[in-house]
Amino acid sequence: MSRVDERVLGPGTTVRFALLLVLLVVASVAPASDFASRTTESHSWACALAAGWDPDGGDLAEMAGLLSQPGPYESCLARHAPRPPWWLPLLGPVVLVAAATALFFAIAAWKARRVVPVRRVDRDGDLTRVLDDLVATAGLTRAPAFVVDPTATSTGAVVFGRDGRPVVSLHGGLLVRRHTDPARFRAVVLHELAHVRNRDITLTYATVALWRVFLALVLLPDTVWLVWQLVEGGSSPLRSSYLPSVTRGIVLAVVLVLLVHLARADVLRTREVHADLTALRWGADRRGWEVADTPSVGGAFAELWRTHPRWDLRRASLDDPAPLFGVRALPMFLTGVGAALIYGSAWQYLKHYRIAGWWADQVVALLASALVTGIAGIVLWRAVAHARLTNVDGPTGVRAGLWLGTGVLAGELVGGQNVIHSWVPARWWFLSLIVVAGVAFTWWIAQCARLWAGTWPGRTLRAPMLLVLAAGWVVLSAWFAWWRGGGALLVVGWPIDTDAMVAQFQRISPGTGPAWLVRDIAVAMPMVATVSKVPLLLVAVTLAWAVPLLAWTVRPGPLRWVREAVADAPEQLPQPLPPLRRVVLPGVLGGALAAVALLVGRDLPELEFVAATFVAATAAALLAALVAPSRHRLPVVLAAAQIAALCAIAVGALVRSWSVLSPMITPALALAAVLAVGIAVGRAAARRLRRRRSALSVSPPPHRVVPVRPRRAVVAVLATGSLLTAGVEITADAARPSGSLVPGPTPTASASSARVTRMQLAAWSAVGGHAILARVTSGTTCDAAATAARDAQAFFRVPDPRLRPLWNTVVTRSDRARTHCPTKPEIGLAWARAAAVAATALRAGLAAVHRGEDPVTTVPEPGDALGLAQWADQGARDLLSRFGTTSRRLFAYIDQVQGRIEPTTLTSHCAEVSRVGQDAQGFFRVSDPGVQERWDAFVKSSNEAGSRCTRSIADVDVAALRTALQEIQRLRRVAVCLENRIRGSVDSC
Amino acid sequence: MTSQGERAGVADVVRDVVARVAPEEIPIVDGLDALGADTAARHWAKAGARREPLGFGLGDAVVVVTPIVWWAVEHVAGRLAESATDGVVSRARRLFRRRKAIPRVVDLPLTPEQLAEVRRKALEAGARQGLPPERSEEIADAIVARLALRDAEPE
Repeated sequence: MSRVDERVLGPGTTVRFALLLVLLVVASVAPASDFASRTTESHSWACALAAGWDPDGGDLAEMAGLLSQPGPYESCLARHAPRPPWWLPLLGPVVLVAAATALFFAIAAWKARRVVPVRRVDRDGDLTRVLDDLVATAGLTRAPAFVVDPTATSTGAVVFGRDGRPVVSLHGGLLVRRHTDPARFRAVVLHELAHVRNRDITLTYATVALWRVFLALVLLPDTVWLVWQLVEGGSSPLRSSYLPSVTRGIVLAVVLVLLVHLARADVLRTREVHADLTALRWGADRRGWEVADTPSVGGAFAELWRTHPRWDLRRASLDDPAPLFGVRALPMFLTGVGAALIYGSAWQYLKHYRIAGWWADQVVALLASALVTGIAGIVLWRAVAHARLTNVDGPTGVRAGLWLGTGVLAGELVGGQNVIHSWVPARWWFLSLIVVAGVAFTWWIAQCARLWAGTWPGRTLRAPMLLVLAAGWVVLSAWFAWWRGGGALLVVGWPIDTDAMVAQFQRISPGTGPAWLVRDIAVAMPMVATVSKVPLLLVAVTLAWAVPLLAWTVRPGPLRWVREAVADAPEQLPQPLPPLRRVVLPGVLGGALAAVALLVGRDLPELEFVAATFVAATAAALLAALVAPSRHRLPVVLAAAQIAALCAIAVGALVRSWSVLSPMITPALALAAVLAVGIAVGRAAARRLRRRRSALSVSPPPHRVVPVRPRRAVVAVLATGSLLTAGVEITADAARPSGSLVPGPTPTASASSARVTRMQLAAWSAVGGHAILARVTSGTTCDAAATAARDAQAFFRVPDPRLRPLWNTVVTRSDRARTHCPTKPEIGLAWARAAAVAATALRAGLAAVHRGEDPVTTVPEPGDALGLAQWADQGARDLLSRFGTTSRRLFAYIDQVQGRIEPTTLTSHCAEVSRVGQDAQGFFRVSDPGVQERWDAFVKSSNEAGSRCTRSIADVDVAALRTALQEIQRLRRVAVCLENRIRGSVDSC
Repeated sequence: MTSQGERAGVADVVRDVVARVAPEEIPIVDGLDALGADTAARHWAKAGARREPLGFGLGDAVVVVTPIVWWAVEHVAGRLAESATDGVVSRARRLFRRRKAIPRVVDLPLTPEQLAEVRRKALEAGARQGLPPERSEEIADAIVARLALRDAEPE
């Protein structure tokens, strides 16, 4: 059989060059941003410390701390660490590309200085004639300019310039040998013309130019800066927290150098072999490649850095281009690293400027995954096609995926994703999921390639390859976009307390279901949110099974592409596929079983029915995946599982409504897909084990002609249904208020060391705390008090928990001053004076901590005890009256609904009771000891009763609710009694 | 000292010699001549097989005679030019040797000592290029013969 045509599919080297170019351009954003930031002094560390950051506390504690006070932190950054304008970092790529473009032309001009036109050495015109003949042989429409480099003594040549204006430079040695070794001369010139034809010139020199400029303008200055930081920052108390990121920056620089050199050399070697084969096709003599290799030092390692393969390898490729179809580890690994760095860099920029969102993540993910899919996908398709042509087992994709995933993992670690000040994320073992995802992706690509290569009757495989790669592109982008949220959740952890989330859930939807279910849902909520928010997830899931299923809709016929790739290959019949009904039926039956279960449980309460549908859909998917046929296992199992899950969801939606089930649809279908992949892996592994035990192979079923039209109808219905589901969910998700169920994070209690506490308090004072306390202390007018109150409320709470009651008092009292001032200035000013007393105490406390002493943390009373009448006028009367109104409304509502209580409404009434209690806390003291005692008890009880009332509704605890209401009823009487005392009654209450 | 002698271009002398001992290298001499002595001399240092992207790959170095002849003739032209202007100026200039213009002509005739030096330089260069001693001697003799024979000068 003759040689396999290496052009059976595109070489895939252009996209590998593109990866390098995109990587360099994107990687220049962060250094540009850094340089721009360095023009102003940045005190972001002070803002973090003021927010309570403990440099020894780990990333999760830091996240929790910063997330708990997002407003003050943001405004602190805006004042003390201003971000450069958004466009400034983008100047990095602009300058880089502009300089690289200039260098691109300069390289050509530089090379042109050492050459002379061919006519200057061609006295008789013979050389020009020969060259014209060769251009005609190559079929180039426009002849390149031919020049001679007389100082080059070897028998080679080189092409430079650009694709539109190529210049072929013949080495002096080649001209010397032209007459004695014409085979060599033809081979060399045709090889260079092949580079022109293959359009290698612009991309190659663009990469060279961009890399040199990147090295000079970005990498070297940035590395020098990082090393300087490493050396200079030795005495900083925050050194331990910055060491990992600075070290990572230096490692990143080294990795970039290695990556660009290795990847470029690898692509160039591939392009050389393609040029050799093109030259050979144009009639070059194999003797032209008879060159002895100079002995190389370093063996295979040295080979990695060479832009040309060894001569013996090149000669071997002329006979058998198998190396051009191989799936090698290095390109896969480098592609993974490059993609992770591109995605990481772009995402960092978006995050820095608060542009990051699920759609923004998705778009960036599409960019990175386009490059990965283009590179890994083409490599795998070529390998599968070659295996089919040479009748050997093709690649499974597993090894390729392992290397690809490991590359992405390495890129994540070096790029510092999911870490702030740590070396590696806290739960680093979850990073192995990246490798698992890489394997799943390449396995899917290889399986699809095998499926299509065995069935596609067209003259070239390009169409099915592009179809599968487009689907793979979306699938991989969905993974990348999910990993940004879901991966972070796994490897970093969730900074919000689960109990707080359950409480929040119950507050928003009180009494919706049994406590265990509410708890389970609240715990799963963050992960569910990361899945539901990936915009293209359901589209990706659909494409993952529907695109392979399209192979069933192709009318079977001889594989013409095989004849195109190998001239004298015998006619090949398509590979028989398992009947479509065997793929679809397991799904439909699984879905039917789930439907029966849902019909039985149709009267379940809403939340339970949603949960039941979720379980039924995933169980149906699991069942279908287990019984689906084993040929073309992955796509077939995926299809069966998705059909089952979709059927279950459709029945669930018919029984209730789509909008009720909507929150579980995306997670259920995603979980069904993940389970299907898991089952496919398990079944493949089991089959491999069985095959190892018995060498018996199962022969494929005989080929039968099946009408193709019904198959097309079935696949169209299934794919449309799935895509419609995806469309509806994307629209529904866009309309859903984002993060409505995510409560404000609770800070994790941290016991910072005395040294850290001192640093935190110093930072807190420096970034505004000191100034605010001064303003509160000196706020003797209503305007000044109001300003101070607003500033205090918008500022960080004091980081030392011991001083926090004092700070809270300052904030509460100054706020009371602000609210009273417009209507009752004298009361407002009284509160302003009370706030000043607390502020003075807090300043004393800060000074004590600074000296290393224990601070006095007692909250000073808001001034001297007032006479009863004055006390009432200062606001006690209003508070009692508010309590009366609130509790009256509460009981009026209960009477009105007569037992048909709407939990949400009742909760808001209970919360109102609590709020009055909170507002009454820390109120002025009254000189009458009896009244003061009753007042204290009233304030405490109203707070507790309100909270108990709220909690009992969330817990659906009727007895507790009854007790709370009785307590509120009692407090109403106490309030009336206190009001009477104010009016002058002397009755005891 | 050569006020009554004739001047021969370096490239012309090289071409004559190469035409005798390695006529297949004549296009190289033409190319170097077209490139200009300065540029040629600058690139000779980096001459040889180059690792370049989009090149054909490393091959044998086959141009061997022209560099030897060019280097020897240029050397004698340079020495003559230097001895003619020996003094403080030229010594100072030697500090910036790389910037010095490459002499384009050789003043003939040469003294026997100068001819002997040219021969020695040619043999040295031949040995450096790895030529067999007989071949180096053939080239050296051809250079000496060309420089000694004034009537061989082209018009």
